[in-house]
Amino acid sequence: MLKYSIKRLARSLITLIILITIVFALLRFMPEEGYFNNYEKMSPAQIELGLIKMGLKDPLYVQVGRFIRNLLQGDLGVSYRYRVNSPIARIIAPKIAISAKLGIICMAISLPLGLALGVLMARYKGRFWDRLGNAYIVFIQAVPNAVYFIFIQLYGSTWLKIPMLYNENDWRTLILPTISLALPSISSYAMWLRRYMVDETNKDYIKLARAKGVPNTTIWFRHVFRNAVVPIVNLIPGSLLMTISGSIYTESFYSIPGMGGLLVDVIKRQDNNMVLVLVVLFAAVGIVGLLLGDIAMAIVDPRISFTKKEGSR
Amino acid sequence: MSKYSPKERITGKLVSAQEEFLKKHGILTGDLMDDNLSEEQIAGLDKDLFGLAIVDESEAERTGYSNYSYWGSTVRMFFKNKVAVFNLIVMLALVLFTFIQPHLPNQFDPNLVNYYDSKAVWFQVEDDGGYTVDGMKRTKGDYAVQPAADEILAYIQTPSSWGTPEAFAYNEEGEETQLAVSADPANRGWFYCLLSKDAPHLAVMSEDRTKSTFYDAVWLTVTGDKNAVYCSSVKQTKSELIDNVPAGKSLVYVSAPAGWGTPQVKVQGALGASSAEFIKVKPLEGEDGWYYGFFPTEKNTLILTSEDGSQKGMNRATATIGLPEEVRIVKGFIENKQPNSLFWFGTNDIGQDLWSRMWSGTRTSLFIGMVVAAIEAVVGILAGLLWGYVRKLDFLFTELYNLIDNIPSTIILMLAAYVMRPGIKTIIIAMSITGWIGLARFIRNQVLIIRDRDFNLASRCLGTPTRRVITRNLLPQMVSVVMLRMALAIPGAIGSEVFLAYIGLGLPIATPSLGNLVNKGRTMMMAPTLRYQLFIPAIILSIITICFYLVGNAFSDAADPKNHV
Repeated sequence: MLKYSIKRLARSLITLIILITIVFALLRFMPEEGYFNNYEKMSPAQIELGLIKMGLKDPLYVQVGRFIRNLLQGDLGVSYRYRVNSPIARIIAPKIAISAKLGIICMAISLPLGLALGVLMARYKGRFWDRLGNAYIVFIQAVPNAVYFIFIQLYGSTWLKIPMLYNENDWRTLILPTISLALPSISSYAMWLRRYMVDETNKDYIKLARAKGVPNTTIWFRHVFRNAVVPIVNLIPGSLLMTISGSIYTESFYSIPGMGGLLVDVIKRQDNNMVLVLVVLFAAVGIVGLLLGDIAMAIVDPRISFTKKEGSR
Repeated sequence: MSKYSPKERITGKLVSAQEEFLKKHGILTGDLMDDNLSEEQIAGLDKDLFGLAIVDESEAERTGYSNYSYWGSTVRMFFKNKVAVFNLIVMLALVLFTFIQPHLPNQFDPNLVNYYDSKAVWFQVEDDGGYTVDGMKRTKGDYAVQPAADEILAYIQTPSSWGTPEAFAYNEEGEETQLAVSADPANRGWFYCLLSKDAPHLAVMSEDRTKSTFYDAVWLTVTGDKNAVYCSSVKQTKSELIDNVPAGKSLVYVSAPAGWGTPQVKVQGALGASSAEFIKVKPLEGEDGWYYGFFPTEKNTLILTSEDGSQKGMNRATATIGLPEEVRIVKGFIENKQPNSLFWFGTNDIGQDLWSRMWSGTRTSLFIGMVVAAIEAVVGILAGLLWGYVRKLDFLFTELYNLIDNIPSTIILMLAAYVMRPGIKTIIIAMSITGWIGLARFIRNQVLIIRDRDFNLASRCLGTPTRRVITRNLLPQMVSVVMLRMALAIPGAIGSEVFLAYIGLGLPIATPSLGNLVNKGRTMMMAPTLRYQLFIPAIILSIITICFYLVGNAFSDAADPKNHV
């Protein structure tokens, strides 16, 4: 597994480098005023000088190489516009903490609830609980989250009299964002678990177990659940890591100073350095999450091994 | 084998029948069935016994293959699902309506900013004489007459029991002139008259002069926990007016809260309390809570207190009898109007008609969704087939897939939307960049799997033409997922559009879309009276996305060959 992981990490690095190059090239299409704080007052010569000073007149590959070299040394660079000349690492560290806190609370709630709902729906397939759960899932999946987030905020704050905006010292202000974040993830856990469990119950070994007279509870929890939960385990590390990227809607609705709206902000303010760092960060987190997911899956399910898989295809 | 076994008996029957036939024609001379006829025997056979057998390929196929129709079965399966059929009907009705709506009569332009009319007012009278008057254009088409510069065109609508109304105009001195009222031929139930700006006080009377919008009386009501006093000359009591009003006095009706008892009314002149006096009020017969009294016409500032003096009206009421309300031209936007008979969904904060914006926005969003779905399907299927069949391209596509799949799609969406100019084209491109690769990967996997499946191998061995293999063996496996993805792409695209609009990278405000409307509504959500601007787009958007989602799911279930029996 170690060999496989290293191999995959190496491939991911290539992906990341390609990604950095593409984003670099994309950002080159944006107007150069994004690099300066007081562009309007500068003369063309000053601009030229500034661009050279920042190394933006170098060929693309030199810039990419320099960026990667700095990145490897742990230097994320400085923000040009979002907060002038302050190190990016120092800007994002507290934001990551807030987003991760919210995300982890939400996962701690939604994972057990989602799995329980999934089991309930699969167990009573076609009956009341299943239909109710399906209606919920269809609603959440079909309607854009912005719409029901708005209503949660509106009625949460007017009917339950919960303060609307986030306040570090008031735990009640976390309730509505958590509900908003948990609703879609509960629905997706429940949906997938139900589907996998229903698939599993149709398999021959389950029929055999039933024919043998294995008690129903044992079948459901020893066989069906344990097999069906494997693909879900695959998703957990990824979603856990992705909590650091925050949620754009929730964080901006409740003005939580997290990572959620940061990318939008820096894209709008053309803080190209920060755009780059954030894109790389999110992509890297996504890649590592997938890898950890595969490893977690292999731990949970002893039948999965990567060494055999490599040779065949 | 027993002599009595059914098989033996049947065989025996067949053999004997054949023998009989051959003997009859003199072919068989021996005693037993013999296949191995000699040359002479063959030559001796009657040629008429044989005919040419032609293989009719289409006939053979028809009888050889089952006459199972994939699409027929899919449609049958789909129509078994009642919920999906209902949703399909709703969806079709909505989609159809969005495209019909602009061609319906009397629709507003979605970007038209509605002003109050500068030449006319609309005077709507209720049966009890209450009325509303404002500058919101309620009649259709052009004006019946063009008012001159010093005139106001007043449209009047009265209940049918009023007959042809009569209108009276008063100038500041109280001089009365009867106006010529004529019916507007283009708008049933509406009448119009021209009002001079010198005599702008308008009163409307019914044909038999029993009902009027203006009475020689004042109605005072005390309401609310703050005891606010409202004064109005709109008739609020049901019975006929008290007619024996003493000379020099005016009639006043007073309604006070239950705990007040008989209200005390103090009247005074406009200049001060020195001439203040209390007047007597009597309960009005048959109308609970109403009292009436007479006050000297010149002392028209009225102060109300409860019987024991513990409660007091918050404000003084100035009872002006003498002139009906002045009709004024209203200027400005028709902004933030609640849904009414004219603006069915109300207007937004700059006076645009939400009804037409709503449907125009739905049209835009559906158009975006459908184009994105179509691009995804075409590009996805083509790329997937290439990916699956052409081995050399596999590495390239896989890397591309890893790249696109590893970055959260919102980032790609945002970057693409930002680099290009805002507009429908940009949004379509931004959404299409990420969508196709998922479908392509699915098609590629299916191609790899199905190509070498046993049933496909068997088909190929039997010499089934490639076209048939593709349409009968490959395509049905994919239709289900392609359709599902196409159907889900539409709610997905609507969601992405809402997202882009929210972060400010969406369509310009002049192009209404569901995203624009929802976001505009969100900014209004904290004012309870303006929440309709959020509710209406949110509800319609939810109906559309849920319909597409359910229909897509149901169709994909129906199209899945695994579910076909």
